[in-house]
Order: sequence, then C-alpha cells, then structure tokens
Amino acid sequence: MKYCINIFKIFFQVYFLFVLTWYNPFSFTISESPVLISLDILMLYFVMQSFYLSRPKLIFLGCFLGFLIDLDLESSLIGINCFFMSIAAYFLSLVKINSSNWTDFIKYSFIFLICIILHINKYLFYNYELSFSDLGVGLINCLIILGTLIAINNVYFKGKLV
Amino acid sequence: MLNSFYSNKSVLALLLAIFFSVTIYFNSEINSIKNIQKSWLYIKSVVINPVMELQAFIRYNDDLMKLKLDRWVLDSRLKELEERDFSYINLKNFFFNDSTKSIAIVSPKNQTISSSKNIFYTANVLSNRSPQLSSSLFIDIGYNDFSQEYPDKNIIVVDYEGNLVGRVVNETISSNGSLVQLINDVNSRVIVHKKGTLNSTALLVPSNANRFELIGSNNYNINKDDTLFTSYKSDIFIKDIPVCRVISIEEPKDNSSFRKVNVMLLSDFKNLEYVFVIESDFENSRVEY
Repeated sequence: MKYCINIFKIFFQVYFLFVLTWYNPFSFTISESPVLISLDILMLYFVMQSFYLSRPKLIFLGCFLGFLIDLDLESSLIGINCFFMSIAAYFLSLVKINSSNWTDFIKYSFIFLICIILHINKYLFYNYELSFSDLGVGLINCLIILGTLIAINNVYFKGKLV
Repeated sequence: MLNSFYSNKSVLALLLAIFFSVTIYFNSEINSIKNIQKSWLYIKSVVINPVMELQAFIRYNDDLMKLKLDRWVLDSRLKELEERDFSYINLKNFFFNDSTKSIAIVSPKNQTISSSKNIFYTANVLSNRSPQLSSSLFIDIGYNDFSQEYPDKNIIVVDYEGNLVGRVVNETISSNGSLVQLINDVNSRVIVHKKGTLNSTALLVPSNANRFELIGSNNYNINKDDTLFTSYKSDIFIKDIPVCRVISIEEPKDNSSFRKVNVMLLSDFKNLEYVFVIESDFENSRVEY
C-alpha cells in the first residue's frame, strides 16, 4: 500500500511539474538557437530525486520522465528522452553513492557534466549541427539548473541535500 | 570504485529501461503508444485551455483599445469636417456616376481563399516554453474540429504569411488538440522547387533548427536569395507554398561535383501565435504521372 502511495505521489509530482512547464512564462531566446533559456524544472526535479531515491528507482523514474517528455514534445522520435534519461539516472546516482568521497565541487561539476551531455545528445539524434549559440544556450540552461540546485541546497536544506 | 558502477539491481533496472525505450522507439507507430500520446495531448489541451483564453483576452483587449482609439480619431475628424463647407463638391456625381465603380470603391478586397479540395482552419499555437530541444508545436484544434469528409487526410500547417510550418500527423491528433510535426523534424521530408523550373526538384535536409541543405540541387539553376516552394511531386504538401530562401551556395571543390546549397526557413517557429491549417484529401493530393 505504501509502495502504491509513493508511486502515486511521484506521478502527481511529475504531472504537476509538467503543468508548471506548460504555464511557465519566463523564457528567453538568443540568436537562432531553437532552445529557449529557461529553468528546466523537470531536470531540476530529476537531479534532486537522485539524492533521495535508490539507483534502480531513479533509473525507472528517469525512464518514466523521459517517456512523458517524449509524449509531450516528440512527434516522431518517441523513446529518445526515455533512453537518455535512463542512462543519465544511472550515472547521476553516482553522486549519492559517492557523497562521502566527493567534495561539493566535484558533485556539482559531475551534475553539470551530465546535464550538458543530455543537452548535446539530442542534437546528435536530431541530426542538427551544434552551433556556438546552441552550445551557449545549453551551458546557460545547465548553469541555471545548477544555480537553482545550489540555492535550494543552501537556503532550504541548509547544505544537507548535496 | 567498481562497486559504485556495478550492482545487480541497478544494471537490471538499466537494461529494462533501455529495452523499454528501444522498444517504443522502434514501435512508436503502434496503436497503444499513439493512444497514450493522444490521451496525454488531450489532458494537455484541457489543462492549458485557460492559457489560451488568457492569451485571447489579451489579444482582443489590445484590439479593443485600438478600436477605441480609431473611434476617437474618427470622431475628432468628423467634428473638424462638420465645421468646413463642402458645398462646392458635387456629391451626386461622386456616388451615382457608375454603380459598378462605386461598388469597387466600397467593397473590401476579397481575401478569402476557396478551394473545392481543401478545407481551411485557423488555430492557436500554445507557446512551447519547454527548454528542451523539440521539433513540434501544439495547436488547439483536434479531430472534433476537423471535417469527417476525408477518411485518409493530409493536414498541413502554414503561418500567417503563408509560409510552410509543418504537418499534422494523423496519429497525433487528439479530440481538441494536435501535435504539429515541424519541417525541421528529422523524419520530415520536403521536396522543393524554384518557381518556373518545375522539372528540377530538390529535397530539404535539416542541418539546424532553421537551416537546411538541399540534396539533388546539382543541375539546378538556383541563385542566392531565391525563394523555394513546395513541389508538385510531394504527396504530402500542396504545391507552391513558400518554404525557404537560399542564403549561400558553396561551389564544388576539386573532387566533388556537388555544390552545397544552404537555405533558411521563411517561417519563424519561435514566434508563432496562430497558424492556418489546411486539410485535404490524401488521394486527391497525389499527382498522376
């Protein structure tokens, strides 16, 4: 019963975050990049869950989250976010596993690296050339995620989350 | 260190997740996945309906203010005119000289597009605020709005200037919303031609979100700044819709006999607020050779 309640809770949280994404009015664009500069709420949630959930659960969450992103955005490539998010979850859980070994700088750098690889990967699948502005937007979006994570960790969790 | 990379449960979970994602990637056309996507799009269209209404209110509010301003200007001009003497103008000659001419002056320019084979709709675009890379748009009309005339229909989308935006795939139409596959999608195939040269056509291949390369353009007499249109050879798109503009042509190098033609889309996907949707019969749109 508790297991079902937890699944329902996560489903509700994810759905609520999608609604937030649909209603999010704060997004900016630079030059010709097709990606908007905005806080990726779903990615932030995914990163934060990596500190709570066990590795297998995080992989399933990544798969589920990716599948919903595919349903929401993809008309012909359903499955790519599902694939990448599962693999990202596998590596992201290393932060929790090595929390006592790694310094905060390494943890944040590792999270940043995973976020930027996830961003670039999609360009490969879309057969798009990665221009300087695309890379710039990706870096800015990852920095926004990281900045928000650091702010939440320091202000709300008093440095106990990461 | 190795233990952190490898554990039975996590590897099993990863394999299951990869198996699931690969399965849905290669079977994305099957009904169950499409039905799930339709349900998701239906929920999305219901949830975002207030956003649409708010956008419409803001848009109409702007128009209302403009109307009020026009009315104020008109009133003030009318007052000015009332103070002047127009007795020297023969109004009889002006209005009743030739009935056909007076109708031509009064009647607005007819901008309605009519076609026996195509049905036109207008649709609002939900501004996609996701920071994820995407090659789709969500519009607020679905199969409840489309006609039931054509069992096998082609639905294409153009912007307010008539430039090609993309097409609606039948599998992504929910009851009150549809996902538009943009022409920069990796699976989108657009055949284009330059007006006046119907025999030479080329295929658009996306190299970026709004830049493309032309394939098959070697014997093709195109120049920089030429506008390219959808070809009559396409089964999907109606012919002669403007698609892109040539921005550069790289002449062939020593070993290659192909020249590289780079084009830029005419439509700006990031700033679309509303679009025109054209529904046509798939069978009628086929070209008989």
